[in-house]
Amino acid sequence: MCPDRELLSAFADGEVPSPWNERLASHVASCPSCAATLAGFRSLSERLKAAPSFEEQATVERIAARLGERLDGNLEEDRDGASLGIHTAKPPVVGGVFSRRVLVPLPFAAAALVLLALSAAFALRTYLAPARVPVQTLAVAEIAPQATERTSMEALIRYLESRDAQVNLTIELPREATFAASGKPFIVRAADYGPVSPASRPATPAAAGAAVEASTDPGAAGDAAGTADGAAEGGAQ
Amino acid sequence: MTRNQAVYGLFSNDGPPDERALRRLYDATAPMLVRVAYRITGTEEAAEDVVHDAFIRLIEKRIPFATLDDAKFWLIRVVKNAALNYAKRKGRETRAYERWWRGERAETEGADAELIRGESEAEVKFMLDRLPEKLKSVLILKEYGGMSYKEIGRVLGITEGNVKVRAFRAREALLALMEKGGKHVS
Repeated sequence: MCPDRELLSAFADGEVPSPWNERLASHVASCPSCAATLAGFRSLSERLKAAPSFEEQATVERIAARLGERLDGNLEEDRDGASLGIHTAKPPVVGGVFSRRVLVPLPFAAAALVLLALSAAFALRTYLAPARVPVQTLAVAEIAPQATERTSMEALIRYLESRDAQVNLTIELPREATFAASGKPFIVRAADYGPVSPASRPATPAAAGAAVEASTDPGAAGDAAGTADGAAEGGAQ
Repeated sequence: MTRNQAVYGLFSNDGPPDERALRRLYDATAPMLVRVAYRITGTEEAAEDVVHDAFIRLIEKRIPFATLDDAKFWLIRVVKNAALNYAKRKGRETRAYERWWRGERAETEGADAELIRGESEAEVKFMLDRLPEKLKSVLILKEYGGMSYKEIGRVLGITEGNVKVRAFRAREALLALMEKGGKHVS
């Protein structure tokens, strides 16, 4: 007696368990009708698999590239050359993985103002933790591979204000400039640091705004505090 | 490291997903997902979008999969549904055109039409599109996903027996379409 077509379909899929599998194979070998049915199913499978070819591997790699871009903004190449960059920002940035590095060369005067504003804003750390903080390099982030053009302080402030995302800011001072001590470091408590009126010192409102914006990244605050301390130390010598 | 351990810890903290675990999952599943998505949607661009969006959804939802298989089956389900939705939207637009076009070819090509019908690769795609979704899903997961009845049942939330019946009915329907086209499959 011949098995029904549904059973032959399952047999063609290799889904019939032993011992029925072997018994079916034996029957098909000696039954032309069932053999034809089975051949029909197999031929259909082959035709389905042979149907329009496409660039599967290229599609897989394109998706990996898009995932990397979408998740991070950076692409990392693994050893095989395919890319799926899931890159954790260091330090981990709360609320987003997109970070942008801006290289901003500043005129000497503006640079001095920014330094002073940063010292004022982050000297709270000195106030609370009198222990010496290791001096760190001036840059708070790695130098971005993509260079940016010179920009004014106003453009910088506008950029910072327009960004909700975390911003790693690198301030590159003119290499030819030299710094000399100018007065004592000015220590400000956080409670004192509010909207700046014209009568208050030391910084301009614009620079103070920049310092406040730059301080929203807790990771950068740590780095910048160390930086400001280092700069203040250097300035006081 | 076992397959199960490969995905454990994909979302083990509040930060971004573990890069290596995500990469392992991607390498293990993307080729098959792309294949299945392509067969359902019919275009590389749609397949790419569907698979990409499924991974984005997995990452954004931060689902705590215990094993790689759990993640794989979740992805297949999502890709299948998204691809079917795409095909349904697209199908409404193109089915009318395709019906007219097949009629045109039959008239203009005369005796050759019987040979042409069922011969070209596009015919297979056309016939697959004509299948009801329940049957098409099973057949595509079987033929292009290389999945067992048990795995297909797990993805679709149906029994193995149900998968077996649907696979069979899908094949019978395709064979009937091909026969109707004038070509016997021997």
